Amino acid sequence: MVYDKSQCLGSHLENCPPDDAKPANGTVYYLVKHNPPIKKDFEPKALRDPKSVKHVPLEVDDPDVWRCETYGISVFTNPEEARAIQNYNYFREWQLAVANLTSVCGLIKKTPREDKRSHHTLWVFKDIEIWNMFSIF
Amino acid sequence: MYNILNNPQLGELEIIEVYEYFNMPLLFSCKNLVSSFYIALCADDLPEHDMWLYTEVSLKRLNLIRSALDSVYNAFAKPEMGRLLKVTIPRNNSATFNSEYVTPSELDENVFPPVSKYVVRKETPLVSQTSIVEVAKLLGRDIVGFNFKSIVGYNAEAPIAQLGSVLNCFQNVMNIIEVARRNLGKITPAIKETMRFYALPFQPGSFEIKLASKKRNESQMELFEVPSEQNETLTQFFNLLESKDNESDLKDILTKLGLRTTNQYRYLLTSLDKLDTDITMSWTSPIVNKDTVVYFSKNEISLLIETLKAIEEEQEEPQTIKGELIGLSLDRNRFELQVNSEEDPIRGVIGDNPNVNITNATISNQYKALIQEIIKRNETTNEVVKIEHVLLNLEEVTQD
Repeated sequence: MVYDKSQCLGSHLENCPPDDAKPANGTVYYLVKHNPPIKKDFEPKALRDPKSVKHVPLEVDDPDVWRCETYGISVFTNPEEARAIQNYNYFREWQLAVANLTSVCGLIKKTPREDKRSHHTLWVFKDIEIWNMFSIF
Repeated sequence: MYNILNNPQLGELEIIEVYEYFNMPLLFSCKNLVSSFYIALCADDLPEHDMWLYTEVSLKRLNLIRSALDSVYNAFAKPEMGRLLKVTIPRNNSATFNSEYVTPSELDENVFPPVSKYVVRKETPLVSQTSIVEVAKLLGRDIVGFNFKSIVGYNAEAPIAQLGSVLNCFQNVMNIIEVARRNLGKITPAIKETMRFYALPFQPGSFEIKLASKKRNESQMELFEVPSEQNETLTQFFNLLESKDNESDLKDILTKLGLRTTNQYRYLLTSLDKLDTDITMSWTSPIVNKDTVVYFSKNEISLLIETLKAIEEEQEEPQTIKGELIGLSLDRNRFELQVNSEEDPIRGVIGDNPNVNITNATISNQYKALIQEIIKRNETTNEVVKIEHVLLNLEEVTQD
């Protein structure tokens, strides 16, 4: 099966995922609330809480970019940056999970956030059970 | 419907900067509609709710935090207002929204951001937009805002080549309208000095440029209710902008202001068109009831450029100008006409086939001169570098 960006979550938006998003490949880290990870751990913000999704000045200050990124999930290539998120009370019981992504998982783009320079946005393909790809690290 | 960017106590919030992010902003600065500043934190994962904390911060403290000279933890543990707003946002329909003020001591301090959390140092301090405008208004200055939306690629950035052209064209339009308004022949150094605009500091979080007119001197400041030269010219400029939907009004205004204004206005719109943007132009005036806001969509800009081209074709007619003939050289084919004693005379060439016997013209007499203007521009900036005048007809003004 050939995957392209039309099969990603968020692909109903114009230029989403962006053209410079590449097929996922390599090890990434992610925080999950459940062990083992479940589908709900990977629900993008836009699907979980669409009403609160509005213009946010990220590193790229474009509301369309932000809207598109809310259909992706935050993954890190540096596990220490993911662990730093666990220092926040909200994530005190969340666990670090790891996956070796391949091109069947989705499209990925490096989207640094403040001091988290290894932050990437992953747009998962709709028919992929991404939670089965991750295991607790 | 309330959410992390809307609650009953603070109202609608606009995020300024995000300091921590995981699937969504977790820690960010924001402001509400009355420009109070807050830092918001995703603080606790409760069974049916997300708990958020909001701490109000002064601009001074926010800038200290942004300069990494104060920790984010302190903003919550030691709030300037002595209290925090605790908001619980339901994750399902059976739970309810709640928001209340609490003191830090009422909370487990673990809910605050990590003690070690300092934001990445920001080089540019946040500046209160309100204070910039208010200070400028107090100095009797007119403020013109250019708010660009959907600039291709990056909303908070703009390509300087096109942006420079927009600002240059705006200054040129102001100069030309002032020339037309005062019925002068050309842009003089005095006009340039009077109409000069200055860029105010940029506001982070969106791309908006604010320009202020020249400062008024002490004696003029006592006369704020008397419109300045810039104020009168801005009135004409915004009348022009507001006539965008009414071609008849647009033509009337441009007929009064002349071909050069039409030409220069089209260059301004063309420079905006190149930015590929919608734009809101605003005017904040020290004169009561003069504030104006005009919005142009990208599509409107493109259509208006075509309308202006058609108006220009109609306007490319010679103009009759009345003045004193003060110079005439048949050998060099040149003439000089003094329109106004305060300004330089109009100088130019005598047309190939003037519909008049020039040799009969008398120096110092009053004439109605039919003059065709030929505008020469700098190809890069579009600035008018030279206006050539060609004399087509000369008719003596008879004293009744």
